[in-house]
Amino acid sequence: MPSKFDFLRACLPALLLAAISQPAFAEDDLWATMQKTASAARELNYQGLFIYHNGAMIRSVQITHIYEGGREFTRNVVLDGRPREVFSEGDDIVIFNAKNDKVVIEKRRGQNLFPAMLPTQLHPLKQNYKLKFVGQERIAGRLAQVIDMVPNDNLRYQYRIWSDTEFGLLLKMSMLDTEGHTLEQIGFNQVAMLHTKDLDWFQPKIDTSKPYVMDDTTDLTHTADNLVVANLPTGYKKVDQIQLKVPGRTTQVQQLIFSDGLASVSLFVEPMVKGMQPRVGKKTMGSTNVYAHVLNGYQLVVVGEVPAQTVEQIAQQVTFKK
Amino acid sequence: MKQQLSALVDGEVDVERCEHIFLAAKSTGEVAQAWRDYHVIRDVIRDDCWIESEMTSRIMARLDDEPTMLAPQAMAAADKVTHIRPRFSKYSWSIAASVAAAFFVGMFVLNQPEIAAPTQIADNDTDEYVVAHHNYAPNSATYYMHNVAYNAGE
Repeated sequence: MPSKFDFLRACLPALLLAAISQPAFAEDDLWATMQKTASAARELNYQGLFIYHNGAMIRSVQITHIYEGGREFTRNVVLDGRPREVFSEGDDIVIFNAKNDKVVIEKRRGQNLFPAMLPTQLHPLKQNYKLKFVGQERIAGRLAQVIDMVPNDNLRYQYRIWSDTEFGLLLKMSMLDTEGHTLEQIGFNQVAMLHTKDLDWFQPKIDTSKPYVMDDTTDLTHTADNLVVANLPTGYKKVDQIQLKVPGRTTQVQQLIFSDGLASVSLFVEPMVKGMQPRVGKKTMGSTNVYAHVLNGYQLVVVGEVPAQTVEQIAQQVTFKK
Repeated sequence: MKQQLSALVDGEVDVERCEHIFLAAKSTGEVAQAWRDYHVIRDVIRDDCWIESEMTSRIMARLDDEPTMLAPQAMAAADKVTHIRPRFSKYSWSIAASVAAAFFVGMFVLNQPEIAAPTQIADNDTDEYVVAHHNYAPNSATYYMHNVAYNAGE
């Protein structure tokens, strides 16, 4: 039957082309998937084990998440390295951090912790990233849709997300540099939906042999001063400003936080005092870039999971109002 | 310390060599109060912007009674307020004003020449900043690492 064979051969390029371009969803559909992914992490009840990789460092974390009566309860137990338990109820985060002979209790404000990495307000992301459907893959026994978030410029990295096809839960996320190398990766090894709404797990493992002390090095009150960052890199906005009390220092350190909706950058401003060694220069550690600079007697340090030019640009734009 | 402070205000001490006075003025309530009072008095003499304090209202009330006190020729009328006036010449006030400006804008600017030349950041220099960034910035997956000593208890 040569004719049938010819027919197949004629159709093959078309079939291949169709196979490649078939999942080319409209970008709006992909944004809808992103929205579902952002909500699912907050509204579903699940328990699992995820692994975080950054450079040579690896941590496994056990997570339990319950959404009950409009409130989110999460417990993260860091299984590798120093014992650490992170509890969050809505935006309030409390960390029990075992350090040598004591347990330090730290308080934090809301952060987008895995798998709730995507902000529920996607608008800022739409301005800075384009979505591209990559395909489907199995992660932690679940089928996932793979979507690339391609930045519009080189002021931020590229991200790839794996979203559970059925539930929309973020199963995995990775950050890639401009050459496509993976800088950072976080993803479930196993995950299961929970059908209980019990909260008996929502308590730390108390070690009665150790004293518990509050960490008071941070003043989380919002502050404002004469500091101005004139031209932030495109798409970045100041999202917070806090004061840090660094042990052993007489002056407070200001921390300004900028974000493009996903990537975040901190600017630290600290008055130079006698005996303090000023630092300048840049450094790359995995996905994190650091840029140090001295201005008007202040030490500036910019840190972020963003390309080197973004931290440098922020450091160069700092001025002090007279 | 009060003497040193007033000497500084009077321009008798080199501004560049008074770091300890600044520090003391910041830390001890007594000196800080004295510092504030000197400036209240200056403000009264200059008749410019106002700060609320019991002392200022007392002085203001007095000035209302004796408006001529502000004129240079009023030296003869010197009483409780004016007995300190000779110490505040126009010249010394300009120094005091510049000291005050430096104080609020950033007192450490004054010490800039004494600060060592900046050096390139080395391996662990910025670790504490990186940890603080991971602790407080949103979307920080690196949050789980926390392998650098920084917080209380270490």
